[in-house]
Amino acid sequence: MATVINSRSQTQTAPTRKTGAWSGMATGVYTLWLKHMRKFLGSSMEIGGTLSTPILWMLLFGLSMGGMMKEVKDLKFGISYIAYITPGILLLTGLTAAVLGGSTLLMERVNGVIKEYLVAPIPRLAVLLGTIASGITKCMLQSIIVLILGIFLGANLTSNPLAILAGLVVVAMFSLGFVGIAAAVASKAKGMESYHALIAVLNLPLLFLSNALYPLEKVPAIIHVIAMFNPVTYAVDATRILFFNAQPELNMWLDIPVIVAFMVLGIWYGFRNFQKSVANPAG
Amino acid sequence: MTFTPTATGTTQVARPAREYAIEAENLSKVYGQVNAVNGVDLRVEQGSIYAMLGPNGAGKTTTINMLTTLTLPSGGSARVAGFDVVREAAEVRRRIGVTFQETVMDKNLSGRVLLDIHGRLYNMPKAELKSRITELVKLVELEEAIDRPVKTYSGGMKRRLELARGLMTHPDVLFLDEPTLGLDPQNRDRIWVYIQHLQKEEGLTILVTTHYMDEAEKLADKVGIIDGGKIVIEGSPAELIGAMGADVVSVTGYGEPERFLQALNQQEWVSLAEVFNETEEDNTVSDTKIVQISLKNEGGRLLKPILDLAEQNNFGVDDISVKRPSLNEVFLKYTGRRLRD
Repeated sequence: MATVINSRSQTQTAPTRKTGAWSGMATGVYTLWLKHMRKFLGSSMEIGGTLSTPILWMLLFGLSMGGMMKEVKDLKFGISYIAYITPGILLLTGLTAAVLGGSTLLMERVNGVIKEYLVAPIPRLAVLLGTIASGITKCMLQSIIVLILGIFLGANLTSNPLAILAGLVVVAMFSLGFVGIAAAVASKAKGMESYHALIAVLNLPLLFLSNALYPLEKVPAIIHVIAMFNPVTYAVDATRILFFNAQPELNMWLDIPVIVAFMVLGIWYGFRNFQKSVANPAG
Repeated sequence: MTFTPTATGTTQVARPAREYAIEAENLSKVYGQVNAVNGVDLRVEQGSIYAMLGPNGAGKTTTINMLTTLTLPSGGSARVAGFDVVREAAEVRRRIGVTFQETVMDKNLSGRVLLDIHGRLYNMPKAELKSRITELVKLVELEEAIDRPVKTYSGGMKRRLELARGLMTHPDVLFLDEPTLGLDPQNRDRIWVYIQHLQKEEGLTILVTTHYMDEAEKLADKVGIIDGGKIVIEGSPAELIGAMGADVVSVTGYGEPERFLQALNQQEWVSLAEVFNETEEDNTVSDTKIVQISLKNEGGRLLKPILDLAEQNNFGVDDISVKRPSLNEVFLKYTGRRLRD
């Protein structure tokens, strides 16, 4: 029997492109990204659902609190309140987009669409990477919309293009960490309901238990301590400095390593759980 | 292409092993304590249609999952299109098309986008993608619906789209898991017309599982009945049915059938009488017994003697029927169960 390995029968039919593991990976990641983006752009629900909350925050909370919080200027951050809260809201938008991006993986797992990918000649890891790629794209698109909205509402964006670029990289790294966590939960979760509860559970505490809306020196010590364990705090500090030239509340040299560590951990966690879930795709 | 079914002992020279598009040896899968598939041996000749029949939970889908590289076997080996499903999974994947038992498609995307994405997953060149979609959409008669979101499709249309998707990449071997499940007779016929067309025109090898005996009987070159994770009997529909005798009489009733059975088996016009418990879809056994009698000649004149024998042996008769044997009777004989549609 061993002699029949290379006797392909119908060479004339199947499209025989010599595809190595890497090109299979590239094909898989790109195709999944393309499919997810087509779905995303065709679904006003997902875009509207992610963007409506931050827009309301910016408009209602930002403008009304901004009137009261004139003294934020006195706190030596040197920026308007709307500029002050834009990074936090923007990062939270990225987080929500990440969680929804992860739900793409969950949906495809639960309704069986993933099987189409698993019998295709692409590495299984391409399914995860494709989902991460589309997830991060959605995060960036929507974060940028919030940033533009902030500028319209009076936040003074830095004129240094390198700083803007660096700020976007920070947003991307932060979102990647959450995309990884979302993919991990999506690989484990049994159904959609529990997963969507996750968005609600994550969102507000991460926002309130950080420096996103108020300076840490003004909050009770306990919240201050908790905020120091919240990755949002570091990402907010870094993006506030990069986008709006704010005075640092923490320290760039602390922010960046924490965000990188968070990103690596998130992706590792997503990878590990995904590997477990495709080992038994029927489940 | 026609193959004369030979039970065993195919000569290697006249028919080299590569003529089998699917070969499985002692293929098995254990989930925890459960032997879902318990040593399946399978040989599907190239260009033929092989129908796998079996009750729910018999191991059909698990077998297909292993052959399509979706699940790793716990034991045994299998080759599809000449490649090992474990060691050369990537090669196998490049050469197969699959449709799954449940429809798995993104309902918000249009049929065309779904086919396009599928072709891209296999790295099909753009020009070929386009022309293949046009070709297949025509084949499965979805020209009008192809640009609408799939959620607007009927069940039959979705199945046809899935079939087109399975064919997108010119597979050598096509796996169809219950392609006609839940469809009305008209749509079932249509699906089968396409399947036969493909076999003839493209020389495709097709492994199909189905609940519908009449389909398997009419369309398959070879039928394998799978039960308890094993293939219990295999052969062409004609062979299997031929072995059942001239006519089959089914007596449905109640009571102790042993003496009735004994009496029947002593009659010279009976080739074999067997008793089965009627099994419900959920695998619970009812009190009703089915006595299946294979006759050596036509059954019409023998109904009276059979009823007499039943009465003499205290077997209460609810229903008696005589028919030409079909796969239904073969299935009952080998699985002890009757499938209901």
